[in-house]
Amino acid sequence: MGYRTIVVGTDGSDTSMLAMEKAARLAKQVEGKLIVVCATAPVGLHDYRAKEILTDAAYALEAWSVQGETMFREGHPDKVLLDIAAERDADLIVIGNVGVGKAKRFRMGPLPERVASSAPCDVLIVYTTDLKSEEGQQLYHRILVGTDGSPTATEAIRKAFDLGMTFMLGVTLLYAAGDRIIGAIVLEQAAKAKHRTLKVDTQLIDGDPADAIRETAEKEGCDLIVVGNRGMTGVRRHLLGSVPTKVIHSAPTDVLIAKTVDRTVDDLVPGTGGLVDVDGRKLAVYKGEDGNIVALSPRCTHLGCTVDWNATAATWDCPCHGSRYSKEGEVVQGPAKAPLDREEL
Amino acid sequence: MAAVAYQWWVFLHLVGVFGLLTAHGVSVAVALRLRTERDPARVAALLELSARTVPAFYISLAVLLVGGVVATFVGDLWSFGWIWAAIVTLLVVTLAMIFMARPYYQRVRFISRAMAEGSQAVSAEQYDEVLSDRRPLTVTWIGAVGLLFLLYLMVVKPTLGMAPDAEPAPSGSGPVVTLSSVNSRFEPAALSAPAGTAFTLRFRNDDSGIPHNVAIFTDASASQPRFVGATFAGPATRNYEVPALEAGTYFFRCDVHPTTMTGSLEVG
Repeated sequence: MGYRTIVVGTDGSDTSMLAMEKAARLAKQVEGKLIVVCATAPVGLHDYRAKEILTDAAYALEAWSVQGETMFREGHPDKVLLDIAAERDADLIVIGNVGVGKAKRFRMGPLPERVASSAPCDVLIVYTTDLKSEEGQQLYHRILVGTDGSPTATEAIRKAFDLGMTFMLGVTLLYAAGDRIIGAIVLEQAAKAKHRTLKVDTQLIDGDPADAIRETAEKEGCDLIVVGNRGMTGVRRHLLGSVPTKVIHSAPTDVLIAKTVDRTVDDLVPGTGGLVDVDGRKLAVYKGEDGNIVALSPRCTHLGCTVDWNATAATWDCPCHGSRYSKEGEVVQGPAKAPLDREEL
Repeated sequence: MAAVAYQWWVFLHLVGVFGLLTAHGVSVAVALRLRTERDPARVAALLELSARTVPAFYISLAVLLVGGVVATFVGDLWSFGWIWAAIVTLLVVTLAMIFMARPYYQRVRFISRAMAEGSQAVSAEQYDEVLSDRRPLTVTWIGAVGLLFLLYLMVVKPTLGMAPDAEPAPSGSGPVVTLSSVNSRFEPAALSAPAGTAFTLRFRNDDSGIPHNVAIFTDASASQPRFVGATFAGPATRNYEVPALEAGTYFFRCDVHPTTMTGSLEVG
């Protein structure tokens, strides 16, 4: 599991202590390093109080025998968290779900949501509303991941399968996008990507995706939900309301928001491809198992639609008329006749 | 000049129409074939064939639109009902294709490909249900009816209660000479006008949807124009303000129909 550096924020509150506890247990299991961050504004923490909190945190890390460090910085918690995550090249940010509920929203906006929408890495939102410590219990029991067949969902599934393998958990794969026939195929294809030892169970449900995710999590006893971060920023979020955002607000479990859009070449896992951002250019990049990189223009040579990575067939597929290209950009299936243009990184 | 150009723009418009029918005919054939084809691999291959004709289809559509729009400007046809009816029809058919046909065939392609590659998730009954959907047939009908209606508009050119002002008042102060066009012939073919004074040539074009003009030359070689009137489609009337001419016999014609619509003008 690739969570080598984990950043967790704390303000000394019970809810943030629970988030830290969860982060520490996670760090211990994946043998990662934990950075505990305390920011001052706008809560109005005094410096001495912040330092007190961090001293306690340092003791706790030692007690849990988790490798880590503590950091104090002035500024808004969301900005401080994001800055430190970027500086330290973190792989995961852990925060409590404080501020997701209605009461705090009006005062300072939903912090977890703001962090999740612009994080440079995955974000784990720990459900702390019950204020119940789970110390000594198994970290998670079952993972739930939703899919609509999109590349961003495929990426979230890959992450969920990875976590399932690391923590030896079962995974429930859910399709709730309305079309049962497409859903059956999507689930079948998604389940193919799993390792043979991983136990995967598929569910096909009608209705609102966010509701379906919550209900299935309750029914199947899933205590970790994995979603992609597509739709969390920009126009789509305001027009449609995004599934990830709704899930954060309604799920009574931890939610892992996998970074599946606005990725860079570094975010690609070897052996996969994806649309990535290279100095403002959107490129179709495949990273080989050996780390070799093939960069292509994502513009389909048939009519100029944008191709996307098909993890099942390991090809670049065009959604408009079904043209299919190999990892190297050669035409595998028409109607396109010319290969994708090569690009320099 | 403009009048000759009009016919070439209509020619380009028709080139677009022929291209569109040829390219999209493939997609129509595929749509009808899919009513009975139930082998996923063959369905996928047919859809790929159909998709291959899409670039030619779009190019034809662009040629058709450019030819049609420019011809409408050159022929000054914007004030006619049938032009607008044609644009609305094209829009309705296009929207039907985008919102009904496209998502349907993308779904069929996705399912067919997955099945051709060995997916077991879809039963034969479900697949048959997908391909027996009424939507593609409805879309085909919308396209066919739209096409027939367009053909009717092009041939009959109904005004549909929308035509330019029939009888504009003469604007000049000089004498008025009247001329009309009936079944693409000048009526009368011989005119007379006073010498040395500007006059109004009141030209009534009775030919519905057909553009005409009046151009006056020194002689039948039509090499030295003395006056060239704007081209416009009937039924409509325009007042041309012709400058003063010296006494003599002049030749006039319609630039759109230079061989069949000619006449002589006696100035004296």
